[in-house]
Amino acid sequence: MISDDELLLYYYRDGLDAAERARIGAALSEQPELAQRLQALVARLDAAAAMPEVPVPAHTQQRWQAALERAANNADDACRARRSSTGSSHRWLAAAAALRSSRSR
Amino acid sequence: MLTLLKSWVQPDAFQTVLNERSGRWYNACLRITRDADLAADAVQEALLKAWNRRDDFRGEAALDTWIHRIALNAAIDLIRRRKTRAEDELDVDSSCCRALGRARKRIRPGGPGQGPGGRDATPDDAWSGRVFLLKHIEGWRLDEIAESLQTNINSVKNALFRAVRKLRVDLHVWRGES
Repeated sequence: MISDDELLLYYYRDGLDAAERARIGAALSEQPELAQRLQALVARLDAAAAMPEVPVPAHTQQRWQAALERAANNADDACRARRSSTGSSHRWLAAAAALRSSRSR
Repeated sequence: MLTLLKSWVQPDAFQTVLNERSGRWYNACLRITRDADLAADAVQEALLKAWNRRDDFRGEAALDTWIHRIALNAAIDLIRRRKTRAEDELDVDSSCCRALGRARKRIRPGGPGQGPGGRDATPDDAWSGRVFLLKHIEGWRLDEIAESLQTNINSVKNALFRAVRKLRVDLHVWRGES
């Protein structure tokens, strides 16, 4: 006797080993009433899972937009800060080189 | 939506996917959390993670799949955090916990892990319902569900079987069958 639990796992192709899958597959091809049981089970699950989609509320979309804008601005600021710190280190290196050459003279 | 993004989002894929798929992510999270605010938070978390890694994605499909998955995991995490917080608060007075448990059990069971009007029948029912949704609608593997819910495959299987058994009973009730 094959249980609904086993039929369910067979339908999902998950959670059964190869031997169990083969046993249930063979039983399904031999027993039309078992195939009907599986069909009815799946139909029941599909019916239960069917839920109407709801639109995303406008205020939620605005919230996401604001969060992404903040993230982009932060990334922009970080980029600018990196550029300016690189620039200042270049200036320091140039100053150090100038100092070295003036001392060597 | 998000027209401002156009100016600085490097891959157009990000903008396109966001416009076309955000409703799907939101609804997936809403089914799992049954809470509009938590669903919105979960999608936002996923969007920010995706934004930070936007250069890693090639093509809209990969980005969509990734955000969808991250949003669902964020939704599960948010429920878990909220549950832990609620339990911590209730720990102060354990009698409150017992009262809540009794009250939850009194709620009549409804859909997959839900009572009428979207209320959880019991915490177990709620998690069974989520396992069912992750398996049947989202098509996650049992081991993926177990990892996300921080449990083992056998517990996931049992939760799935419980949800399906409950569905069978409830559909009979809804249809007026004996």
